[in-house]
Amino acid sequence: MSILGKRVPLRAIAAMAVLMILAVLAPALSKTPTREITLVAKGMAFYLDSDLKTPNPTLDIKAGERVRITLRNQERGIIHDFAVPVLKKSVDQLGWNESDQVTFTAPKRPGTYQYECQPHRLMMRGTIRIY
Amino acid sequence: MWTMSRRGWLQATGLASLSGSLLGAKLSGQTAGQGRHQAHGSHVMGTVGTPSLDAFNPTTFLRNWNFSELEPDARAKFYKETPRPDGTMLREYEIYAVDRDIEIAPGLFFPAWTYNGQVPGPTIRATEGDRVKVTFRNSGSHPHSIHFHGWHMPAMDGALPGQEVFPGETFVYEFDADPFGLHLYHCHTVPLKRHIHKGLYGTFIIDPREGRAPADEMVMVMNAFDTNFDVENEVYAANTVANAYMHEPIRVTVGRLVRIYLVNLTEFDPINSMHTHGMFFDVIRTGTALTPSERTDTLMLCQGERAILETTFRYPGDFMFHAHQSEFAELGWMGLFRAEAAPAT
Ligand SMILES: [Cu+2]
Ligand SMILES: [Cu+2]
Repeated sequence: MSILGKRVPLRAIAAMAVLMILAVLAPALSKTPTREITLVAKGMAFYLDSDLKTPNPTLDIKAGERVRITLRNQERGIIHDFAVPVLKKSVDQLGWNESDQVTFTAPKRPGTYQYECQPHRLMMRGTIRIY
Repeated sequence: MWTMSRRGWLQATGLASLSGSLLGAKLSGQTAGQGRHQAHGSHVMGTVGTPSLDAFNPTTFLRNWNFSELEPDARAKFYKETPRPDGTMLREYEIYAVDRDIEIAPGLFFPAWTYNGQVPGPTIRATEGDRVKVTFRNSGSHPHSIHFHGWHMPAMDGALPGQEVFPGETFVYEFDADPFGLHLYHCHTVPLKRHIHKGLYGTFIIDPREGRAPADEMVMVMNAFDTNFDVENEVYAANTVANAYMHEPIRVTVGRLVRIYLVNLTEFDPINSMHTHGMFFDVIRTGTALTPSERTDTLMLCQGERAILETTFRYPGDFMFHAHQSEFAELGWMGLFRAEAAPAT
């Protein structure tokens, strides 16, 4: 068989097909998060992408809930991340216009926990409230 | 990140953005009585294209102080002024240090250490006798400080052993604005030349109580960048971005007094200078007098030295200004004033 004029062995095509089927199934097999939060980093603060007025907002999350947090860095030239130190969870350090996600299970016990940008925790930090 | 030989970058940045407009084309034929001779491609001076302006705009920086470029809400986060019973002001500032890659020529990024994400840092402006209170938060990756020029007690110096502010720490500097003049502030953590050169500096203007004559005022910081860390600068500028005012000339009005607050914060080279074409200017060294002491068209300043320049444009058209060290000029320290006739009233 040839693709774009190159001969490709049949075995490689079979392997690719298996990979493609797995890629379609994989999200359905994983634990789907019940809460999605998208944050942007801008002007040395975090904002919800749905509310660009409130810096470092408090994030309300149900105890034991599966959460996926996405951070998008909108600050040209400054590296940011998002971390929940108590859970030892963080996104990668992000350059301008990059984004990354972190998925975790919220603690079972209600209370408050800090989230922060690790390089700028003096200015970029807020509270996760578990209820 | 690019690393460059001292001479290589102009050529390289030109190649990197061939789609940008040619500066030579911009220079020619736009103003009556000037530039009728078309620029030839081989004579084009300066860089091609312009850096992104959303992180730092040299034209905005020129005529703003005390965060006046920000909307009131945003400004309130960084600056607050409170009148005091004796008629002076309490001026409170929020300054933070943060690491940032800044674009100093089209496509050329410098890994800077900044005050409030910009180089030069925000211009601070008070009147003689005001109380200045600066809350400094170090969100950078290294210990830093702010050392202000002017009268203050040793505890507020920011330069003595033990006065560095570590990452994640805060310090409040407080002092009276004295004496009136044109001053500066900069990081004073060792190794000093590295911390200053990385971008931690800004202008500190103290106005005389009686004020100065009304004028079109602007701040120019002569600075330079060592992009390959060989303790030599490869890029020179007024206000950080090489050739910024060639691409966007500084607009001034014929017959109106222009006052330039000129500060030299070039590291590694012992001196820098400013030369203006087609005019002379009056000089108030360190800004500590009300009247000028000399008249010239070329002023040399050593590291940390500064002066107020005053002039009034006689003729409409484009007037070049640049370092009189040709090398600095060719590496980015060059700009244009574009003088226009005053609108008829
Ligand atoms: Cu950050
Ligand atoms: Cu420093």
